Amino acid sequence: MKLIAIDIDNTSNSDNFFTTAQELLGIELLKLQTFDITGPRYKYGNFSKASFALEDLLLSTPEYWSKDKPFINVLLTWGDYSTTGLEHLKKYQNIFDKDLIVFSTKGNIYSPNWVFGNIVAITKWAGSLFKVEDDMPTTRDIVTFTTDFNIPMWYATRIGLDVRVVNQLVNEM
Amino acid sequence: MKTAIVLYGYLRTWNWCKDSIIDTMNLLCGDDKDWFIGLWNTTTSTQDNVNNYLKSKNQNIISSRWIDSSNNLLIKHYDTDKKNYIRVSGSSSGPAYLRQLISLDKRKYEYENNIKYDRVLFIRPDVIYYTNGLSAERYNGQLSHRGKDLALQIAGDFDDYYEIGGPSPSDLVPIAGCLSSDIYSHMYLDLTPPHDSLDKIHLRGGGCPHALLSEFTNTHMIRGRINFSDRRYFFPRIIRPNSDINRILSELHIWNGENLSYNGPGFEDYATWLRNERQDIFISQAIDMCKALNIDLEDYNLHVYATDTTNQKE
Repeated sequence: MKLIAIDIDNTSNSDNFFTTAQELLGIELLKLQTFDITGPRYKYGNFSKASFALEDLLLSTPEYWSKDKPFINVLLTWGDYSTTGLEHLKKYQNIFDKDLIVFSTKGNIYSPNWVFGNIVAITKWAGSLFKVEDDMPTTRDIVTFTTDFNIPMWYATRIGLDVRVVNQLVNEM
Repeated sequence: MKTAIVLYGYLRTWNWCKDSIIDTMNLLCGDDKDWFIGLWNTTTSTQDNVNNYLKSKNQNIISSRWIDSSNNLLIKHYDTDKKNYIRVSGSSSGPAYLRQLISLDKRKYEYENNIKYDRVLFIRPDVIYYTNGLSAERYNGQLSHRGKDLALQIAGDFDDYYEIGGPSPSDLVPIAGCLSSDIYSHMYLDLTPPHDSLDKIHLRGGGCPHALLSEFTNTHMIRGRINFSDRRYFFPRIIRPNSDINRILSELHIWNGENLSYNGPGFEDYATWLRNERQDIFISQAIDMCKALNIDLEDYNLHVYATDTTNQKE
């Protein structure tokens, strides 16, 4: 699996996590970027910051979306750097192009740990999240979720992605 | 209301249209507007000339890119895939590429400066605007009651009439709210192979770029607006090298708002160009017209024919 892993909260304890991802699970780590959360920041600002880097990469590297090459996946993390979750990640390396995989140790959308998907899907999703405000959905838009993470998921469906929630604990059982 | 103006595409008849464009943007948006520019790099003009002209008219330029058309990687990709290349024409992927690049500049600027543009106007350099009693108050008034504006205006007017799944939209003067503009600008990514919508487009009408726009806006819940009333306040018109520009400019502000879309002598120039752009006799005339106006032949894809002629002579 070719993977771009991005720790969007610049957590120091993620180093071991990414080392494990590379060495033990055979994940080819193409790029690792971390971002400080200081400075101007909207509610979902760091997602956008990650997307800027991805978008620069996409627009300059057509190989990343060529039909002839294996698709590149992206993992966004902002907590829960337990390496057991990486085993679950491997199961989803051949995801559909429009899937947005939300990993959660509690099996619901309330407390996502990671978000995973094709590079184009992740870039589109993360690209404009900082524009999304909690009161933005109108009666014409279907809001599926009712938590702090509802708006990012609403936005994902709005741009045509299929959101799938993976319960890591259940899968371990 | 803070507005980002995205000027993008081929410059073409910019030198004829630039004053109408700037005047109309001033009328619609007042002083609280910034320009984000992404133009194909041809010899029609230079980056300095365009930027300096806008600055001389007190326009605030945030970002200006001068881009070689060969940078449109999607064209390169589909060039090796003839079937899909036909379905994704350059007139779809080219503007989409520019919107993606400019949008990236805009979003970075917004993020770094802790601002959001309330709306984004996407405009072309080869269009002039008829106005009829237009005012910023009328314009803002039509938009303001939407609150959070998630609409993408794809017709040349701003009556608050929304439609989904209707006629294929035009791209003359789209205006979008802050979120819709970013979604609209991500269209290029949707055309990439992992995410393409080509099968659906194929069903809806082949490679027509307007069908592609329609599909994209509908599937992303961007609501189009179109005006069905008899009278209008505002009308964009594409200007070609064969247009009688002096007569057209004299008409701009005496227009009474009657529908100009499908009738009237004013559009014969465009119809003539469209009907004949692949006819040998007209192509030579078009090349002469462009050369007389110092318009790069690439702006109208005429460089292909000029090269062929040269080769034949050799």
